[in-house]
Amino acid sequence: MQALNALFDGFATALTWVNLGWAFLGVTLGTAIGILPGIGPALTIALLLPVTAHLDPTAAFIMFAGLYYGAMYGSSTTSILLNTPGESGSIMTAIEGNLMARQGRGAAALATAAIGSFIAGTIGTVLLTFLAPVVVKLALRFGPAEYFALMILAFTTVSAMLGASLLRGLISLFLGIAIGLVGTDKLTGQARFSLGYLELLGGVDVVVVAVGLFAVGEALYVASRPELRNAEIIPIKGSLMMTREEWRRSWKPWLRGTFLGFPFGALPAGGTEIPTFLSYFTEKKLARRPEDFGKGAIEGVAGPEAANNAAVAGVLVPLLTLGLPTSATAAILLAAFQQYGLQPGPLLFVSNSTLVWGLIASLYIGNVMLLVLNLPLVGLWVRLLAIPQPLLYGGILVFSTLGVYSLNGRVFDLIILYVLGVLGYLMRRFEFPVAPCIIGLILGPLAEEQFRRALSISQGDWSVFVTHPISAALLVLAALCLVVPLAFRLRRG
Amino acid sequence: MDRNRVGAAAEALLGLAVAALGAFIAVETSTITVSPVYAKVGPQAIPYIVAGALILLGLLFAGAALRGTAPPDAAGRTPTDWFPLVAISVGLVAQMLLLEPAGFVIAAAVLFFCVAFGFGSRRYVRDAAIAVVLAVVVYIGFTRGLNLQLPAGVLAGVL
Repeated sequence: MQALNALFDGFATALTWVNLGWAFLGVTLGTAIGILPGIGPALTIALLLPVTAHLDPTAAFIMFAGLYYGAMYGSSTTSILLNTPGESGSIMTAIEGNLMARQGRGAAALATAAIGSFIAGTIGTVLLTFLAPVVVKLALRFGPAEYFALMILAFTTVSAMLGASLLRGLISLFLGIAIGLVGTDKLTGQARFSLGYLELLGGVDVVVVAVGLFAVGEALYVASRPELRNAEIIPIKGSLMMTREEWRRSWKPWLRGTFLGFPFGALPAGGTEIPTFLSYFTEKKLARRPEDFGKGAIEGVAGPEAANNAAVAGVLVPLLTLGLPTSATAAILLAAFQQYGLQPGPLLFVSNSTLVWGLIASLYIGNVMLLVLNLPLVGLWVRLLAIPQPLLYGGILVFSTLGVYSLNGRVFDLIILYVLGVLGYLMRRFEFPVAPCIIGLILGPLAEEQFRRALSISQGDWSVFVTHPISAALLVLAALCLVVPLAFRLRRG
Repeated sequence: MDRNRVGAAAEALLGLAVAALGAFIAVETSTITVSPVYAKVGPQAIPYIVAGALILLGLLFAGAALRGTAPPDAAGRTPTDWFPLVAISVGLVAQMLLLEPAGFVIAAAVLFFCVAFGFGSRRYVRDAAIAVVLAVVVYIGFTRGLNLQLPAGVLAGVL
């Protein structure tokens, strides 16, 4: 019941006109960038960081969270009408959704995606409301050794779960950690890897890395692949009111998608992609007419769309309660907390309960706004898809480089940006997942801090990590994440 | 099949580059001066671990690529179109060089035009017009509206 009281206080914060305005701005912007291919929530929040630095943190986070939710709604529209997923969480939606649109059932696909997103987002937010205080209670007992072990677990799961192979995930992760090492060491004030450049003493800004990997790298990659350059927009046909038959075929996939998506987001198991894959294949197996799959089955849209929204709610659990990001966007959100001098974790619920609960309450409100924005008003949004790709990417790069330059007003940052852009291109080209790199960049320095703090408390005795039971258990889990896939592969062949 | 062999060679090179980065980090780490107070777990411990991991992972990746056991390279199925890469790179470098001497408006307009060109647009007049309008609007919006400092360059007296 404590959670309910806190939630009511949160609504008091979120229901002020000012914060409703920020939530509306967030969900609107989120829907727009979700619909636009080539620009996602991680990149957008990174670009907004400098602009929002002087904003009230509660308002900023209400906007950011609305943006993250909104991107998941908007991206389904792109998947269905353009067959190019707006975000990685909507890859599976594109399969059946685009086929439905080609058959003139695009409106039904959009409706099941939007309503499914609303149901999953709302159930996910309810689960977040009641789960967060439980995790907080547990996390209050964590010391540096436990936090370090938890971060190692997050590192291994995101590396193992995302991308084409474990090796690629780990390389991406360690590249991110390596970039995070640049700059002045927090504990001793020693300069590391600054290579004699004063500009590098402050480290490589997260905005530069996010823009390099997501905007420059992505633009180079898309431009270099002719098959990605031309996509056909299918006009919305049919009625947005779903038929009785469509409701009947949708409601179970929505619920199953929700309960697949939320735990995958909440456990440090790698964001929104995997639950959408699982949901798609579950629905294919359970469908009354599996032969419909591959011909535009509504279940194949309803399930994955619910799964990705529930996963976003799930991702917020470890982020808010433990300070543990499990997706690229969550990592950028963690950087946003750091910008305000806040450290997400159990203490945040005590010291900044207005912010946390205001944020959670605003998610309920944002979901309602998003349902309205994405169902009756979907026709307006579709016009965004008519922006020609050359102009869209031209605009993205102008705004991205502007954001990076205005960080410090230095051309030096642009040089770093282009180096990282080439890295981002190579990673996309050779199928390295980008999320582990961003997570390594943000979480690496925190992990190092906990590691050294744990060792200084134990006076240099490395066994602390295995003699503390929670820490030992987490490290065993992390090891399993690395070993189990290997074992599977050996058995298979 | 040739394409696959080229892809494998590229992946092997990439793996070696990762390993080389690890070696570079190890060398750089050894030059960090450490006060004896922190000798046990100082600022060098984690960089050494990261360096070792990158060397190991890079070599494993290169080895897997050469043995052909790496997962199939889906991206390599269609040939890379190099021309857009060059066009966009030219735009990015031009923007970097022009930004402070010529000013934000000119640099951003050149970047926009090059990117649109790289993405295959051949409507030069339309693209150039949009590029200039966008750059001017962004410049005025950000410098007047958000109080951001952007170089005015040669247009300092005009805008």
